[in-house]
Amino acid sequence: MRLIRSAWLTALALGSTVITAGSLEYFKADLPEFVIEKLPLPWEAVWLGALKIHVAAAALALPGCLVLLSKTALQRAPRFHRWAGRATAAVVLLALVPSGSYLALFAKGGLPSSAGFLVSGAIAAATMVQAVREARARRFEAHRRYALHVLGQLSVAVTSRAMLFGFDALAFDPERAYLIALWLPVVASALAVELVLWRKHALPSRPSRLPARFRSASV
Amino acid sequence: MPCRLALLVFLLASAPRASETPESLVQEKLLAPLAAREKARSSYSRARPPAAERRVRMLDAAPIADAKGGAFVGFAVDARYGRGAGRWQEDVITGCVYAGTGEVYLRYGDAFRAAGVLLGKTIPPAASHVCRAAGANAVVAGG
Repeated sequence: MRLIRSAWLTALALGSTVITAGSLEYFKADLPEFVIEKLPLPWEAVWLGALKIHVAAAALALPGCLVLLSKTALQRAPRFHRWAGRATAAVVLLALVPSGSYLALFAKGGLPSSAGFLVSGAIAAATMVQAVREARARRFEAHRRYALHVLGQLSVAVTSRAMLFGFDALAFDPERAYLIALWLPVVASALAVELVLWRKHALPSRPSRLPARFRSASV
Repeated sequence: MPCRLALLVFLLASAPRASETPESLVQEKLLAPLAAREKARSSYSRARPPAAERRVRMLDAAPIADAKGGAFVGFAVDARYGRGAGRWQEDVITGCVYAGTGEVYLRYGDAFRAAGVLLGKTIPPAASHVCRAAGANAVVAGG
């Protein structure tokens, strides 16, 4: 289980890095393919502004969530964990979700696609608010559950692109592939978080190296 | 004198050669740079996967005159997506080409724009007479 967790987190970190590197295209003079195929749009400047805010926020939010999962950081620098959590929550709630919700209105694939992005954003925002509230109330078990749901939805950016890459290799219909590669990770991430937490409670756990006051806050 | 020579070389290089057909102009000014650009891009993206192959179809047997006296020919580009045999999609790009000047325009949204728009350049819509037959209200090329 620990190996799977490490491999998964490493894959997310790598995926996030590749996405961030690719997103630098959005800030250059020449427009990238993703933008060319979307335009022309009503209020083009607003859409482009939202896209830039979204990619910049995503470049901070997913790595932020991964750092917050660090048991070492939580154990040795709990204040850092708190401040990094506050910063990540602010980025998600004030930049990532609002900009993503606007972009979702013009998503490729029409209404089902827009709905998928909006559902993912709604889960991320609602669970982030709950995660903050539970942390402030020092209910760390619940805090962990909601924080994992945030990470689950942010991980959709990585898994969705990986699925699109795979579907392209299989010559799958691009429109259908886009919808499957969106909805499947959104739903699967939410279910996976609940499954992981259920297993953790159902199975006897190993003794933790964390101090008692943070024990329930680690993944 | 060197300036005049440079200007002459530039004019000769930029003017369409007699051997350039409308089809070869579309290949040279649109499809070749588009393929080169797509080859360089990352596949790990939400953007549509690049086409494996494209082919041009000229839509008009003879050039059509626009309201400003320019002569254009409409064209459509079909693209094959996916690995192996893949699937061909028709009319993924439509537009018109002015063989006299070598200009290639594409339908982009409701208007026509110069071919550079698909290469990432920010290009405003072309003048209203572009790719439209003189006296016709309806769009001819790719319409």
